[in-house]
Amino acid sequence: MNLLSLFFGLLFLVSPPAQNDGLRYLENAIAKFNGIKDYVVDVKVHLDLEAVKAPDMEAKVYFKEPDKVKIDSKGLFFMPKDVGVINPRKFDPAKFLIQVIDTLTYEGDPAVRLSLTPKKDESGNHDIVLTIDKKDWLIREIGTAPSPGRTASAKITYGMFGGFMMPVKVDVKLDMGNVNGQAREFGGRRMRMNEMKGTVEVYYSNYKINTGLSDKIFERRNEE
Amino acid sequence: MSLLSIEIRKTFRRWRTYIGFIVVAGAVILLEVIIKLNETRMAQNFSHGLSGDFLISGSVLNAWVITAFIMNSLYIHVPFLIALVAGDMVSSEATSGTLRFILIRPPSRSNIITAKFFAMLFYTALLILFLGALCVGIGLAFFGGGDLISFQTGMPHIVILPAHVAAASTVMAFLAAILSMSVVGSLAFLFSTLVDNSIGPIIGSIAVVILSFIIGNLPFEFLESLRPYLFTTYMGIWQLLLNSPVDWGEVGKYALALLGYDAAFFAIAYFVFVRKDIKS
Repeated sequence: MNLLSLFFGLLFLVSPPAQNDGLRYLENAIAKFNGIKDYVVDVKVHLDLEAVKAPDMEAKVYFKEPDKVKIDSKGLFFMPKDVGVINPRKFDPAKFLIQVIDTLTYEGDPAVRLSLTPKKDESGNHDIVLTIDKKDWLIREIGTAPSPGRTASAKITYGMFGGFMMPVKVDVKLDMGNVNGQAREFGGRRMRMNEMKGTVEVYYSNYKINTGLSDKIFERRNEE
Repeated sequence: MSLLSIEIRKTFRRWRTYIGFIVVAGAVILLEVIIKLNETRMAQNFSHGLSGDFLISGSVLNAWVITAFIMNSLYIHVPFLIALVAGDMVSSEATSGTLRFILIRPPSRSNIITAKFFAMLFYTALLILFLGALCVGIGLAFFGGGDLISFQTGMPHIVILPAHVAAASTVMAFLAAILSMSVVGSLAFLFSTLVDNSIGPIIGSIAVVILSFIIGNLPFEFLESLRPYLFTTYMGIWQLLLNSPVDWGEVGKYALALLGYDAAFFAIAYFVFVRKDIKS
C-alpha cells in the first residue's frame, strides 16, 4: 500500500460522505410516503398577500403516484405550486445533488437540513432546502429559491390519517422582494414582485388514502 | 303627455340614438364571441404570470370577469356614444329650426331644458344598463358565473370577490357607472346649448374628457393639485364598488363630486338656455 492510498483511505474514514448521508436521510423521508398510492383531501387556502385580496378558497385535491395532481374547486382556487401539494417523491434523489447543510433540533427532535441542487439545469428546476425530522423522517420545512432574490418557504404540520403521517397545515411564506424591475402579470395587470409578499396558510382535512383513484380523474388538466 | 315623455320620445325618434345601442351590442357580442373561441388560450394568458408559482383551478374567465373587463370601455368608447346623443339634445332643435317653435308654446324654457336634461339622463342610464345586461347575459350563457377578479389601481391590485357577491357588486358598479357617464352627458348637453350645430358639442365634450384624462394621468407633481378638480378623477367610481371591502366613504366622495359636476353643468346649460336669444 503506498502512501497515497493510505492517505485517501484515512480521509474516507475520518470525513463521512455528506452526499451519502444526505441521500440516506432523503430516502428515509421518501420511504415514509411509500405506501401512499393515491389520496383525496379537502384543502382550504387562506391568502395574506400584499397584492392579492381573496376570500378563503376551498378545493378537493386528488393525488396519485408518482406525481399526478388534480384540483377540483367551485370557485377560483390557487395555492403555491412547490409547497402546496406535499409529495416527497418529487425530490427524486437521482435528479439532485444532495448535501447535508447542518444538523439541528427541530421542535425538540433531532433534524437535518439538506440542500438539493438539481443535476440538470432545466427550466423550473431550482435549489431546495429540506428540513427533515430524524425521529419520524418527516419533511418539516421546505425552502425554495425559484430565482435569485425570490424565496418561498413552507412549514408543515402533520397528523395521522389511515396509518400515514399527512400534512394538516402548511404555512407558506412568500418573499418575492429584492428583485428590481421584475413583475408578475395576472389578467394583464403587472405587479411588482415585492408586492407578491406575504403568507399563505393551507389547511388539509378529510384525507381518503389509497382508495384506488382512476387515471381518468387526472386526464382533464387543471386550468392554469 | 308630460314634457319629459315627449322629450324621451323625441330622443328615441332620432336614428342616432340607436347608434349607441347598435355599437354596444356589436362590440359586446363580437368581444365575447372572440373570447369564447379563444377561451382556453385567454384563460392561460390571463393567469400566465402566476401559473409559474401557483397551482390555479376554477374559472378565471367568467361572466363577471368579462363584464368587469368590458366596463373599462366606459372610459373612452361609451362617453363618445353618450356625447353623440347628449350633444344633440338642444343643438339639433336649433339646427332644424324647431327651437323657436317649441319656445313659443306654453311650457316654460326652464321646464323644456329640464325635461331635455332628464331625457338625456334617461338615455345615458338606458345605454349603460343595456351594456350591463348584454355583458352579463351573453357572459353567463357563454362562460357561466364564478368569482369576480377585479383590478384596482391601489393596493391590493387584485381583488377576488366570491361568486355569491359578484352579481350584486356588478349591479352596483353599473349603477355607479350611470352616474359617472351622466357627467359626460351633462357636459355635452351644456355644449349643446351653446351652439347651433351638433358636431361641436360632441367633439368638444370628448376633447374635454380626453384632455382631462391626460392631465389627470400625467406623472408630474405640479399637476397633482389639479386632479381633485378634474371630473375624470371621479369617473372610475364603479371600480371602487368592485373592491373588498367597499370604501363607502370614498364612494360617497366620488358620487358627490360627480353629482356636483352634473348640477354645475346643468345649471350653466339652464342659464344659457333661459337667456338664449332665439329671435336673431
